[in-house]
Amino acid sequence: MNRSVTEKFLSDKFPDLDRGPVSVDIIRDPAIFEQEKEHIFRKGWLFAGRVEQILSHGDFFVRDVPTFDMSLIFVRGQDGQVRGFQNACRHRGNHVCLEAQGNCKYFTCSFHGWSYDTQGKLKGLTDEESFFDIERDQLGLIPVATEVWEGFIFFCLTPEPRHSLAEYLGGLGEALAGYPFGRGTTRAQFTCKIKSNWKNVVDSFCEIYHIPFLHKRSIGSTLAGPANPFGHLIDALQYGNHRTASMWGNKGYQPKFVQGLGYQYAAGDPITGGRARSEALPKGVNPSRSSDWAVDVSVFFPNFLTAIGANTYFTHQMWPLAVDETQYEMTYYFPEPSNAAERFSQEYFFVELRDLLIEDLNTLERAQSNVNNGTIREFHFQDHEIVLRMHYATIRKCLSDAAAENLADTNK
Amino acid sequence: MPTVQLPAGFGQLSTFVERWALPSTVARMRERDAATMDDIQKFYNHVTPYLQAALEHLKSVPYTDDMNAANRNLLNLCLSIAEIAPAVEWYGQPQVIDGYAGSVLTLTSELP
Repeated sequence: MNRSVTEKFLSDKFPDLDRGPVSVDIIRDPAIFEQEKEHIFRKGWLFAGRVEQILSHGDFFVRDVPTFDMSLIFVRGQDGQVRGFQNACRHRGNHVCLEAQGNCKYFTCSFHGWSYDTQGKLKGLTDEESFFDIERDQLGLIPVATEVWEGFIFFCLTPEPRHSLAEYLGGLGEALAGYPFGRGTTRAQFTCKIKSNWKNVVDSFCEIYHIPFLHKRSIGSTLAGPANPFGHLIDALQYGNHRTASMWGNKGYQPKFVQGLGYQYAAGDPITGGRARSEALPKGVNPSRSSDWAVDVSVFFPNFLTAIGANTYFTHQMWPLAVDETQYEMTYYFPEPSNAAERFSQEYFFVELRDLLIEDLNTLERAQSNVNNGTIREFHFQDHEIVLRMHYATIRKCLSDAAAENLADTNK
Repeated sequence: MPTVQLPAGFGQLSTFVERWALPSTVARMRERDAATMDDIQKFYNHVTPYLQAALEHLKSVPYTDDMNAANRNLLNLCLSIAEIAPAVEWYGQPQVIDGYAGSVLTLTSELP
């Protein structure tokens, strides 16, 4: 993969992107962080969960949104529709649902016993006679704009979102539609808090340049190898604010012993095994139709990532807590194992991914320290870190667009 | 002491059942974290010669709640092998080298 004279940079496809050093003020400045919350997170469509979590009428899950200290309920109503609500009793604000997930006919507040049906209507108002002209029709659970794309439930905290979810996802939504996400009916998830800006955490999963170094003991020669020693991307794509990195896999990789058995008894080709086939997948997955393809990482702007392999996918989500702190969630989705040996493979894949992520996280905190203490004022992205460069450019554009809009509103 | 049950042909693994045939990912993570590398290496060395045969056996076993205790024990041993495999095959120590403190991770959902 040595660059020949005629070979181009990936960046040549994106002439509008700068190639110089990138200022890190947007991962350090608390004022910029507050703008991101208001203009990006409050206005964007954010991932909440999968439809497989709530297949039956009355099934619900609670999605905490720590960025806004908010708790939301997503429930499949008795009419079959998926809706989102603020987890807040209209009487005096207590959470009406204290369980993380379950099935119910009514959400009953533990404080004074007010109850709401699964479509959000106030049904039970205890000691109603003692209230003054109360309008119970107006006191349902507060709805949150909720839409579903390919089984992914998204919400928007703006009561009347400017765009539908399909419009918001745009070309990325079209490119990935049709992938068999619904096969992953069981899931393993872990979460942790990281002392790093949320964008750093997003970016750590969007380049392979670090793989032969930081992950040299583990997967250093799976997503890079003799034919591609630095794991150069196969391709990078930009869909408005969203983006995809299409990643190379080493076909010659020789797995370790237990790892090899993990691959052998899996239902399909593993992401790190260099054997992925993508013929039957939608055109947006392995968009170059490369025979060396391993995985596509897509960023659903701002804070949700899918890592899509030929037979399996996992997701990352980053919830900003402060300019330099993030709650991170990783979820691995699997089909129901058809036999007990396949269950072993699933456990192996989950353990392997978890340990890899544990390898990643210290770098984020150390980098944040050096940004916070003023030692590091700019980052230097190379060609195959282009998806990170897109990220910084996208954030700056969103914030400058919002500022221009605010100015226009003020001048009206 | 109750009889340790494993499917026929896997009796040699019975000494590991009590410690490593653990029923949840959290329990297996904790056991790896608490174990010495010597313990982990012994477990790996004793079980891996039988691992392919164990998985061939488990391939014929439907993954259901009513798996019998012997099959369940064998699977749980294999799941612990999955848990400790990176310690042996990647790190040469129980924990990830230069890893983020594992205790900070919360497993919010595990595979059934």
